[in-house]
Amino acid sequence: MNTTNPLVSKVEEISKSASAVIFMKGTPQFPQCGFSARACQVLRAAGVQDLVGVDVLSDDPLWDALEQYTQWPTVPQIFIHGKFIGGCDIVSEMFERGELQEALNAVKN
Amino acid sequence: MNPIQLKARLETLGPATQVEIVDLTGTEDHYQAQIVSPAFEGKMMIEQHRMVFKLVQAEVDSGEVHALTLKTYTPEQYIKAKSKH
Repeated sequence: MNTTNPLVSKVEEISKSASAVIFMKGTPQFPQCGFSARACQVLRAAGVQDLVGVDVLSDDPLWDALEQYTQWPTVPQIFIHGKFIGGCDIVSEMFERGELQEALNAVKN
Repeated sequence: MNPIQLKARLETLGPATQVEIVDLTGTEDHYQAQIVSPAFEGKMMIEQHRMVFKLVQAEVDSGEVHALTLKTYTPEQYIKAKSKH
């Protein structure tokens, strides 16, 4: 992980600021992309009350830092209890299998 | 990369790895792969996917494989998932 970029630690800090954090295009209230919208829906359906959304469209440098931090090329990117879980497909699949609810209910370790 | 080559490549994940390939467009570059492997034990789904993408990194980077959607399971997860349907 490239630690020379100070924004990477900011990404890490944000990712730990709530039980569920989504770096996305737009906001949970006004998503600007279908995948981001669907991911928010899935997270709410899994019982997330305090979803924190971060709009990468309005902060290019943070977006770059995010991709450095997770080494994942696409957005949205979802964190549960500060742990990078994946994008829309993975979160949806985990929801279908009940694994997303498990991850949310797991006490922060 | 044709389906047979892709299947063989993904089977290198380890013993008892079962791979099913679907050529989504018939053009041998948009694939869906279902993979059941003990190698996925104890790994989060994202780590399972990373393990798979690492095997075809060159073909993805070169564009030979344009899209690869994954369904990954440990043997236990597969039984659990299939028992629901």
